[in-house]
Amino acid sequence: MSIEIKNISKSFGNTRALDNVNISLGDKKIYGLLGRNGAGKTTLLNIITNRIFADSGEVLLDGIPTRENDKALQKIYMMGEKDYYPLTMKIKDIFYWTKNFYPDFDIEYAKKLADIFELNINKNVKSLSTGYNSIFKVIIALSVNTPYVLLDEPVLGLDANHRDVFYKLLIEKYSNSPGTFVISTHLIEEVSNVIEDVIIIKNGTIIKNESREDLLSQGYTISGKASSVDSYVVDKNVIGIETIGGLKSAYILGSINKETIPADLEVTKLDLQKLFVQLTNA
Amino acid sequence: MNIKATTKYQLREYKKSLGSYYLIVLLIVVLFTVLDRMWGSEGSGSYNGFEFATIIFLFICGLNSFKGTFLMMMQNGISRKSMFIGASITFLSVSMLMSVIDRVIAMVVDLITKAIGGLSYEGFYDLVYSHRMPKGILFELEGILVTCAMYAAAVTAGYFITTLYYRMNKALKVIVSVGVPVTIIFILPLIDSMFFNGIIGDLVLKLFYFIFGDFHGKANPYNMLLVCIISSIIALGLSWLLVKRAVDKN
Repeated sequence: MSIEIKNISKSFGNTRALDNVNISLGDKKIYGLLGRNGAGKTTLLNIITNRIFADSGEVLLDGIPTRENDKALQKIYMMGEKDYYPLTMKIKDIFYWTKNFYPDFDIEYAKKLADIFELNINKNVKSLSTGYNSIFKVIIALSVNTPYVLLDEPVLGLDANHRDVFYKLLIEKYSNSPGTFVISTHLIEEVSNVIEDVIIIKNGTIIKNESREDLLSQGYTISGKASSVDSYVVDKNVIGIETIGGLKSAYILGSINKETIPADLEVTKLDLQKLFVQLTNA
Repeated sequence: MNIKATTKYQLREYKKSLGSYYLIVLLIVVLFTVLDRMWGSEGSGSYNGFEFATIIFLFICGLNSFKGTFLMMMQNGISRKSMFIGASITFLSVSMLMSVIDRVIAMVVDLITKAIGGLSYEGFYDLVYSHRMPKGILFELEGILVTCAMYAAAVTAGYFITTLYYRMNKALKVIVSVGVPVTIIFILPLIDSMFFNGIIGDLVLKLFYFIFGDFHGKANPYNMLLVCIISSIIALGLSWLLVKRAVDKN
């Protein structure tokens, strides 16, 4: 099972939101869809879920186009940043209707999660704070049991405790009944330990699409005295440098030869957030 | 296609409004009966017009039927096609249900009036088409059929307008909101009198007579039925053209 995104392009007026995007979302994986504001993440997710139409290209689920296809769309749930649920509807009623549209939605599990997050399901959407608005949608996403769950900014407005609970529940859910989760977020540091594959989108173009391990093993971080770092990186492919006082960290793409590293320099793994910042700043 | 769930959801949206509407109708009937008992019309008075209230109610329901449902369906993986089929089934079901209820109200109030006296109630169908045949099952069934078509025309017209406004940008909304009434009220009569010698006005009047008769006991309900069915089909057809390309504007 997979979602194939083929040659998708989309413009809004003169703005090119997506430019010939080609990616494949495989079965039972957690993807991180990373990009700066306005990079095209939400546009891509909206096209996958038939909420908006691409100017060209197509999205296939198991080889079948998802456009206006109920059978394909029923296999995907998207938790959006914006409200699509009626604002005056109570959360418990939203659970009821979600069960009608997604028969595998587990109401009991959703109620259990509501207890964990201390969400009052007798409240209506309008009365929820930004954090709880995200929480009720996260609860549905974790209980809906579709093969593909797309999460657009799932931790928007959540405090540190609730974010921690969410990541634990996501991993628990993934371990108990593996599915494909796509997390679109700005909080890269937090999700970096959860995601397996990384898709980085920049100005509507996919610039990286590979496993987190592969991505981070393509380079390394070297830190130490500024002068030592400067002389070490002379012939290296440096993607970024950070200086704090007399200390310097250089982010280098390429394989490492440990024998050539001076004793006063420290080697660590590439940091996903740092790599992301460097890649998307360039 | 997930038509069952989407129809169920869209019918649910009418449940509360319908309950409130008929509660008000019931209160009006009771109020009129009480007032009549207090000040007594001695059987000479009558009241009517619930069908027109229902038409306005359904038109407004149609106007409120798109955006919220569309977003909910998009959230729940329902295609525009299924949503539209669900909406069409809902409109037909609600029109049929309300035409039956309105006929039943007319019959019940008529029976009560006959039993205890007082103000009589005449439904739209009784007023315009009672010359056709004596009251009986066939008359009532014909009444239900014609009012159902009228209601369907009202709700689908509302739905078409709301989908049209959803698809338009702000500038177009202003142009249509101002342009259409100005054209109908001022420009069209002016063009008609200046260039067509009143032919357009005559055609409109002929259509009016075709639907309602000439008020001399010659009205044919099947003309009304035909016009309402054609109007509903056109409104739904145009709505579908707008719905199938509708996108999330969130």
